[in-house]
Amino acid sequence: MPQQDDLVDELLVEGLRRRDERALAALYDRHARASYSLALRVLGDHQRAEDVVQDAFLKLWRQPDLYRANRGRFAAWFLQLVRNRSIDSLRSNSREVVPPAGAWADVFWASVASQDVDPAEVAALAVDGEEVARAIEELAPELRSVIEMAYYGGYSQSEISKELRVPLGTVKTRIRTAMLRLREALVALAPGERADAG
Amino acid sequence: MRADPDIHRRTSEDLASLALGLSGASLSDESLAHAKECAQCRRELAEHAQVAAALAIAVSPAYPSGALRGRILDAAHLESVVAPTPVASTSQSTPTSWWSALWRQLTPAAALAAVAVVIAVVVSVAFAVEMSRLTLALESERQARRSLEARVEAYEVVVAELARPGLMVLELQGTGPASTASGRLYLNPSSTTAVLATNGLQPAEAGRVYQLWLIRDGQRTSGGTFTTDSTGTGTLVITAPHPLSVYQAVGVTIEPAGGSPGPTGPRVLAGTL
Repeated sequence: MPQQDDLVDELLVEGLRRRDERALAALYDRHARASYSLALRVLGDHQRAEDVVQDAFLKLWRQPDLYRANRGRFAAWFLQLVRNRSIDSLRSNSREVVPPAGAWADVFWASVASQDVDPAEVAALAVDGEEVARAIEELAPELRSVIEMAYYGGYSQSEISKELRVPLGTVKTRIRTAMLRLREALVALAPGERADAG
Repeated sequence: MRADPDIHRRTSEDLASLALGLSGASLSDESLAHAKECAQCRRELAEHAQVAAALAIAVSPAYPSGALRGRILDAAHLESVVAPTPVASTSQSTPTSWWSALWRQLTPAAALAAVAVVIAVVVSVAFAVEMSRLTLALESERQARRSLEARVEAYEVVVAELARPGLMVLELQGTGPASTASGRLYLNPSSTTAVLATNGLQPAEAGRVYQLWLIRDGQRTSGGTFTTDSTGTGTLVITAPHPLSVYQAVGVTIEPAGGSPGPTGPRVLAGTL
């Protein structure tokens, strides 16, 4: 049950705050595969992917307070951390990808944790990875390419613009459109929606 | 100041890029102010964040090497053992009256020299502390490496022994203070190597270890010492001086750390070959 899983994660992070190494082992067992799969997808190199996963878990070990339950599910938060560190590794000496911080962080986290989004819709996105991959595949090519370049490739907006030879404004519009289309597709794939459809 | 009529569109586009974690994406002050007030933007941002989270799992499943878990846990353990040294802080106490008086009487040049001396002392102390910490960390790392090498060697022996034809499994029963414990001895009678795995054997007290004895015609030969973890699990690779077929029984006792020449403590496991 997702909610129970989230609770277990929160308790394990609490264990990290008490410096309990067993909690770290349990979190590793629960999230290492997804983390490694994502890092490998971004980096395409086994050793660098393992380095990123190791780095992410040790960062969490040193600073468990980085995760706060009011910032949503641990699994999603940790994968975001792994993804950002993978992109940092990919870009090496380039500008680092930072998690929401600074002036807009308050807006970001308040929005993520707000009641503006119907909880049923949140649950509706509990689809599996294969379904998400299929939804990406079914995007129009120009939308799919910006999502792949931005999320997995670590490209900046201006780099995408240069690479695809389209104006920056077009890149921004395509990214937003792609995100909205993906959400529509994922909500349609959700169990409740499929049951209604059937 | 006139509001930008296009601000909503631009903000919503920037929010999509930010939620996606795009390198270098940012929000202008104007867009930030708009996002704070615009419920539609906030809702869209939350939805984008969900899509971004879904993208993280849309990858082909892959498995890290088995060694990664150990590397992470060993590093975390090492960091726990070698806790970061608190940064040496300068005195927080209020200067005493004689110190204040002296300070007031110093010429600017003398004051500068005094400050330089204080800085030099602080830097020296900090350097010494850091050197000490690094030395300790290096030694701990060496120990951890030796421990890992020993474990790898042990596992290689285990794998080799388990693969040999003629493998036997001897059940060991808990006795005395460990009546609920048990153990298994994996051995090949013609070999001099065996592997012990315990279950439910609580960790020995501080300064104590478990020691295995091979018994032949009443004579006891040490097969090595071992410890157990909090779950009661422990392993020991035994190298006997003679093929194991010459021994009639095995026993495990509690002994002082480092082991004893002969059994002195209570017996906790026993079995007949």
